[in-house]
Amino acid sequence: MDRKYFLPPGSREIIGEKAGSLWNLEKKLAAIFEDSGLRRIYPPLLEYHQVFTRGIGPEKEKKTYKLIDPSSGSLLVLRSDITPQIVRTWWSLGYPEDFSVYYFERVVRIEDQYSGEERELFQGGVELLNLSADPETKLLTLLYEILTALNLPSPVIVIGSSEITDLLSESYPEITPCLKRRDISCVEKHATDEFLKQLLINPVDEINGGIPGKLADKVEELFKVSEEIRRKNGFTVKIDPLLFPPSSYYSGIIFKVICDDGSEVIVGGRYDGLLERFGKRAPAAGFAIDLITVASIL
Amino acid sequence: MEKLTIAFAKGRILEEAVPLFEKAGIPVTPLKNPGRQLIFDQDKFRFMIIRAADVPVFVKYGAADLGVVGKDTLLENDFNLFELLDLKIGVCRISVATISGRRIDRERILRIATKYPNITKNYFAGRGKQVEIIKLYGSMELAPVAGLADAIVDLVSTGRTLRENGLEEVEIIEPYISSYLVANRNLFYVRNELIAEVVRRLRSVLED
Repeated sequence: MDRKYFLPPGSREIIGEKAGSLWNLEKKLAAIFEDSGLRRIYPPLLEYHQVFTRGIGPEKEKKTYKLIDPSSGSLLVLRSDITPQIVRTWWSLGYPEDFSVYYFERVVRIEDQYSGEERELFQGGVELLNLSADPETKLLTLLYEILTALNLPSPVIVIGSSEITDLLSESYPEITPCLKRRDISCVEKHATDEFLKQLLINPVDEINGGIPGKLADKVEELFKVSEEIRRKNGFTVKIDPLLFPPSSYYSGIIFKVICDDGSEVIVGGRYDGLLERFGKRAPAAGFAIDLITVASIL
Repeated sequence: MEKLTIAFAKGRILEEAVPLFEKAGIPVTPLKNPGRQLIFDQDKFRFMIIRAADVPVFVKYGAADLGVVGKDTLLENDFNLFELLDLKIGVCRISVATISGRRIDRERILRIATKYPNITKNYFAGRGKQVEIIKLYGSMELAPVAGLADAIVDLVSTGRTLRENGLEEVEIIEPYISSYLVANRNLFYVRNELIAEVVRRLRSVLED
């Protein structure tokens, strides 16, 4: 057989029934987003490299496809993350208030051949920038609405905060890598704090005490948020003070939604700090949904 | 309820892990004489025997909830797993070795044979030294003897294999390598009760 028409590794196409369920999922989500007053946005495929060096950490930057614009010699990227693009749009419009948008787009990332990772991801997402009201409340309300509408099999919401992981990194700089890996043996060698050891094994379900000052206040805040989710919606919530943010641009609450087979379907959080990198700090929050995984589960 | 799946790296790690898990009350008896069988269901558990380098892959993709694998494998490639517990088994080190008595010529680019190209590259790069790496899959000791490489980077425990093949350890890259209990970053939350129980039991045996 002639092999020259195969797809590159990590690429895929979606046809037939699968394409139908993806389209239905997008319609369902779009209806929720529209009802909440969000507006659709279509970000460009190509951006200048500096939007991404500013907008994402070095790890993700390494996974971004780059190309040289033949007409100017400038370095361009094929987008690997939508959020920095939306913040760039917000900057180009002169920092408007209540810039709340949603999208259904693909991003591409460099992955090793034979690693089993997809290079092309189908994402749906919302970004709430510079809101007059608290963006967290609106974001979490949207999250519950989506989870209720999708009816995923026993979703687990894991909540943490980059303010907590920042405090931990400040207080225990020498064991931050061990905390990230949840390496109990390494933490035990360097720190005697009992609460740290507890947190490594069990994300907390109740405050056991022993968490020092400022950290306890932040954990308490998370409890309030999670209580509300539990009370209102009955979802399983795990508070994890050791949940480190997946991107360096998060600054505040972070969360992910996991299904019972371990698939991570939604990731998001607060990212005021990213807006600051584009010239003006303002409240902002958002999340991205892995559309293919969700469509295949439903 | 679905079983908790634990993947073990076959060979020395498996041999040393079985008594440890047994003491912790985890029913690993079928792993004592596995024959050619690679998968065993026992009570609430499923055990799998896998090549060391593949254990993190199974755990990363959720094909196993937990794994038992050497730190060397985890250092070589970042699989983004939780490395919950040092099981203090399979203890060894990662070293540079060359033919006994041979002076390494530092003037030219060295050829190093190893199954750990990333660890090797990072170690020499950290010392500002460029090396050419040849990836091999086994019997490293032969490479300098047969003239394939100037030196090797490999695991050393007693040093006996090196000596018997006319090699000597010249630099230690990682002085302490042991096996870890690793977990999938998402299943850790979904199956937290059972995983925490396994960790607690293993810890109490290790502390004795």
